[in-house]
Amino acid sequence: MVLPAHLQNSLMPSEVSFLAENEYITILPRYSMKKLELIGTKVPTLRGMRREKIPIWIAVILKSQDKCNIVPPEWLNLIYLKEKYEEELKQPHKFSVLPWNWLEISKILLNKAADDLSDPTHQLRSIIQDLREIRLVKSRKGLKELNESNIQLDGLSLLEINELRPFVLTVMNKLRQLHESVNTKTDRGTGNDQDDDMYHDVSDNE
Amino acid sequence: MYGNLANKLILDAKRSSNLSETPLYQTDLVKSIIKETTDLNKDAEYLGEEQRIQEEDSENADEEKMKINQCQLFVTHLCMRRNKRCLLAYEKLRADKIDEFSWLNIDPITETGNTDPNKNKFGSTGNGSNSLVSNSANYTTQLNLDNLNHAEQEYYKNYQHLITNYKSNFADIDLSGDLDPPTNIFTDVRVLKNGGEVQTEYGVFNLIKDSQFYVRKSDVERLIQQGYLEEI
Repeated sequence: MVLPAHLQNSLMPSEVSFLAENEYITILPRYSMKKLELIGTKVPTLRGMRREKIPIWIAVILKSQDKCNIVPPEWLNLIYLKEKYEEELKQPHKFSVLPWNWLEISKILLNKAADDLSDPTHQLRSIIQDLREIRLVKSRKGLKELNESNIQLDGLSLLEINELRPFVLTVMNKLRQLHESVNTKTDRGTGNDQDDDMYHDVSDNE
Repeated sequence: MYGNLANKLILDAKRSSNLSETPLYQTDLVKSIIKETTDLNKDAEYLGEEQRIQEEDSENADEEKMKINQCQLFVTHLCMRRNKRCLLAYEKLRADKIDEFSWLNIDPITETGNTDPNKNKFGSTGNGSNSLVSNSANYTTQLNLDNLNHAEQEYYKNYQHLITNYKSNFADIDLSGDLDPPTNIFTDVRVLKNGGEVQTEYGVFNLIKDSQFYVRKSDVERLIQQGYLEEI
């Protein structure tokens, strides 16, 4: 692998948000536009004031040229997020279900399309920050439960999993190695004339 | 004790694994490790000879002696093997660093003496900008050809050929480009050092220090990588 070390085993935040930009979002075009045939995604013919679903990255470009309004997703409003926050408080051992890319999408929309959102941005920002923090605390607490065989991450979003990944993977691997070394295996091949056979290398590629 | 020298080499490798450049090749250390291995090899040959002689007159063989001999042979082999592993690990690390650098498309530093000071600043340019060179703490961004030994220089040249060949299959994709995902199409760039006129595929830039342009990002990616421009 020629990739630099920091790219090899986890995604960069910029890559995560790049992936999030492929999600579809509803827009209200202000102009008509012929349809685009892109690789993998098709942008339908846009007509003024007709709602269409297009990928976020195109929506952001159109938005920056003032050619459309972005309809915020149904989860990006104060009421919904407050509800989720309450839910987080009620269940100290579970993560409430949020969209897979909620952090990135809300960040993109708050930066690029703040005027289309239904609630004032500072309130949205603060509730998102609260949600993020309470979930962080929970995931930190959950790390106490790390073992060598399984981990339960339901309800976590891609970015949150990405933050945990380097630490959790290394720890779980170490635990697994220790665990395996205790369970002595008798069926190991021995006495080969190969160099590598002497030193059982237990480094796995994830 | 056998293996100490190799240990030194590995410590050096560990130290340099996070540097942004390849340090000087440890010629003397490697030589002495190889010498140690050759000595061990002589021992091993001698011991093997002994063993054969003992096996031949098996009727008055000394059980004890044979065991001692076998043990000596085994340990000698282990020492040689360890030296080999350490040497290979060291070379592999350096090779990886050279590979990493070759993908960057930056000219290596050839003579330590008379490079212009700007040349040495690759990797330290740009503060927090998204260029490949600056946002990477442990990424090989400098290569001093004087620090490589002859075989490594040869390897570097050949590896570059390989890359060029490989890239020629994908004419319309720049494989050695920026690894950051694209965000915006147009971008503001500031010129960090004079470069005269630079011809891109799309037109001519006149790079005068501290001037700013608003350009298509794909045009200037290469220049950002080479440290002439920084993104704002």
